[in-house]
Amino acid sequence: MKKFKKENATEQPTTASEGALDANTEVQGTEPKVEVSADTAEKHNRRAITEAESTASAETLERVKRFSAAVEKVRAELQKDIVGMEDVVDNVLCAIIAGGNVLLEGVPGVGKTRLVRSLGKTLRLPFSRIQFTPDLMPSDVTGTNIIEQDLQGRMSMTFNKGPIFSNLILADEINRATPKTQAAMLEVMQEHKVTVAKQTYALSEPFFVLATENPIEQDGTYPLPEAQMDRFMFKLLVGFPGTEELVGIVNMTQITMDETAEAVIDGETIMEMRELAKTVPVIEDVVKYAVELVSNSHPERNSSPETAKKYIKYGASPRAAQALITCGKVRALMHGNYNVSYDDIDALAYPVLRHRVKLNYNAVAEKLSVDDIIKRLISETR
Amino acid sequence: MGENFKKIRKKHILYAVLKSVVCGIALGLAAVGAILLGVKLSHGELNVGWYVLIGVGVALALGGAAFAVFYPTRKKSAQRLDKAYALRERATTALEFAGNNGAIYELQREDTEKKLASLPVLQGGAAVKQAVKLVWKYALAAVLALALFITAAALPVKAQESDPKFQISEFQLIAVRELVQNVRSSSLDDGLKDPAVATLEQLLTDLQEADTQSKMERIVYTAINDVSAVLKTAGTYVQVSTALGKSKLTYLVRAVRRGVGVYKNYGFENYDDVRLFNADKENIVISVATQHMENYRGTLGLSGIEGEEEFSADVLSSNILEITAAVANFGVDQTDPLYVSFTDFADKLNTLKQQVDDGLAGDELVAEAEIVFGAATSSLSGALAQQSYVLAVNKHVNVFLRNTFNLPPAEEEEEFDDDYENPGGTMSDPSDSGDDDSPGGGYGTGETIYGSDDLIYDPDSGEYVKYGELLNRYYAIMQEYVRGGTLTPEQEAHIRAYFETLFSGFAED
Repeated sequence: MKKFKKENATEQPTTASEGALDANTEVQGTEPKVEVSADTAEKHNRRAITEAESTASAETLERVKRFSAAVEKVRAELQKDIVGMEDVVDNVLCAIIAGGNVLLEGVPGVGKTRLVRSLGKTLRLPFSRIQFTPDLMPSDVTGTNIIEQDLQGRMSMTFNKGPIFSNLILADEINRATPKTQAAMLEVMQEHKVTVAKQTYALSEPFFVLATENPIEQDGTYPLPEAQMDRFMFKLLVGFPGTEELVGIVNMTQITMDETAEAVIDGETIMEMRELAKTVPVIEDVVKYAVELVSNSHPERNSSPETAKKYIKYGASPRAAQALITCGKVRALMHGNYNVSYDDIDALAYPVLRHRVKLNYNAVAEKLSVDDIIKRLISETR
Repeated sequence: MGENFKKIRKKHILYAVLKSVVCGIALGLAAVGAILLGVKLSHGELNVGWYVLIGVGVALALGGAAFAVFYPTRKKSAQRLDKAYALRERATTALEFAGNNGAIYELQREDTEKKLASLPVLQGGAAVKQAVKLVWKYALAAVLALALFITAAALPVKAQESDPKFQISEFQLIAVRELVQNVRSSSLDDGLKDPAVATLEQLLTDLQEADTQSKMERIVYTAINDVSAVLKTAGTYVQVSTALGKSKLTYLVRAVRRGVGVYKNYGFENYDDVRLFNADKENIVISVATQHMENYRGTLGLSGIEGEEEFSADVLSSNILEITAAVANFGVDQTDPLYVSFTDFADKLNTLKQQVDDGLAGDELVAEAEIVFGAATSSLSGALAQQSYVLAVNKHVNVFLRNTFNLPPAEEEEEFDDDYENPGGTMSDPSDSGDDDSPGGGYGTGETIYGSDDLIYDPDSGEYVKYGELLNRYYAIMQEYVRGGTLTPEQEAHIRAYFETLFSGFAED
């Protein structure tokens, strides 16, 4: 490793080395009378570069440690309220760090809402819960202008913020709201902004929407359109717990039904984690693989595998490829790695593509699920 | 990346070299084995140096090409490491971002270094085991190539024998000299004898200079061909029979061809046979010619045999015209004995026709015709006998030289038979109405001739019918029996074999 530092320092001047050179120049400027030989200057340069890199490396190492510690703390806190669901918890955390929204799908009573509420407590972030119903209006979500009268009797229009003005939003049973209300979420979820009466209001970062939906009881629901589905980074399936997990749930809730998790990280930490994750290197082959995986979900492409042509109606959008790489970086760090691997992409392919790929009647006829098709796509793309 | 990566990469390069060497050896051996096999099977020869050159050349060229394919670039080595040790693309990432600065890259590289340092670098037996695991397929190919090479080398194919030495023996000298003397003393015309003798004397001279078997064979075959060129083309029977065939005078064609061809019935290994043949040639020829002249007389209704054609002055006239036309087309010298024979024959038939016009008929006509045909047959046989004798001498020279020098016998069927058989398919049924375009000469149509048109007594009708028609009828009856299941398989097989023999016999007829 030392050799690498040496090569980099000598062959490829970088920001750090340029900084070191500047420092060297400054030294020369402050002490003009001291003549410094070329060799000595070179030694100074190298030492300065190494020191600067060591400092940066130590800082980053600290940040990485904080990252890992934060993840572990959140996991530990969530385990106080949630039994099992490790994969779901990890994926939710991954999406939150990556800055994405999550759609949780599961039958009633499996802990979707509890997970989000507990997460809200853990993250020490302003938390809002919106229970979506058919009569919920967009203004109920975003807020609206109201007329206020002051003590002097003067009247003015004041924007009364809705529950969306928070950092962590639980959109419970999102598919029960009308399309009009669902559409109000589009701008919020993608741009983190709210526009009311031609006035745009920015939401504070970090901002996440964690939505839940029930796959059964479809009467009186409004399935989310593809455009809105695409705004969710992940779609996670919350399955029915196993026997042991169910025993744990029963025992846990005998004491109290309230969430007992405590806040362990804040928004600033999340933003720092996000920034750190962005720096994780991804080799070109892995990027190409992620892109190819998404492209292969398109049946209209000549080069797509037979699975796509036979079973898929619509393929995933480019947002899927972005999400694979962005979340791949976060996932790598969460697992203590410093680079994204094919395994990261494969693991993330299910939550990323699950809601973006639409199957056709062939798949339905052969009783193939989206996950079955994604599994085939992975094996055919690898 | 660090030292461990370098060590591992060196191993990768070593394995690539090993695989390339094994590949090169396998391909070199395969190439040499294939060439050796081909050369042996084709009885050829190739200098050992060429095999070495080809083997080494192929091994180097293709081994080099294989190395280019197998050579592990740094990226390939890193990818192979990642895959082999489940490093989650650590090595590839460290390599790809080796030039990048930044704390996260440093951490990534450190992490990779740690992982690589913990990898076991195979040594000793384990390294050999790994090498075997990697190259066993190529080694197997090399073993197969070696097997091919050994098989080709050990193949007991007799190499082409070198040209054996030849030196003419005393016996052969005496034999050739005797042959020269015999030809010189033969009854051939001088125009034929002199060039034939000259050829054989030249043969005698050339043979004494021949020092290898192939040279001797070439000299002998040349002499045989030269003598044949002189003797075989000397006769006029070919032109005469061809012209007669064009006039559809089949029996006359046969009289000529088969008359000349009587020499075929003799072996002529000894010159005594030639002498004997010469002494009796006219009698031999006349017996054959007479048969066909008699048949021809029958077609004109002049033989007086019951059941044959009735005499018709018109038929006689047309035949006279045909013979006259054929004679005009002989294209031979007017002093040629065959030309003279047919000219006389045509004249005599013309005279006979005039006599018929003057009232000659019945037994008197038959008796007069017998005189005419007897004279014609005799004249014709005399001319044919001499030509047959020339061919007999030619055959003797051919057979004698081959026997003397132990050469394979001539393919007589092609060399002799074709000369007197139906030339250009012009023979036809004398009684043919001429309505069809059959090439003639037998029963059937088109290219295939199933049988002759010889008349044969049909016991069912009590009449003479064409042999081919009778045969077909009998064959149909046999098939009915077969279909009816009244024959045992053995009987059926015997009958079928019998008819097949008959049909093939007719085809040869």
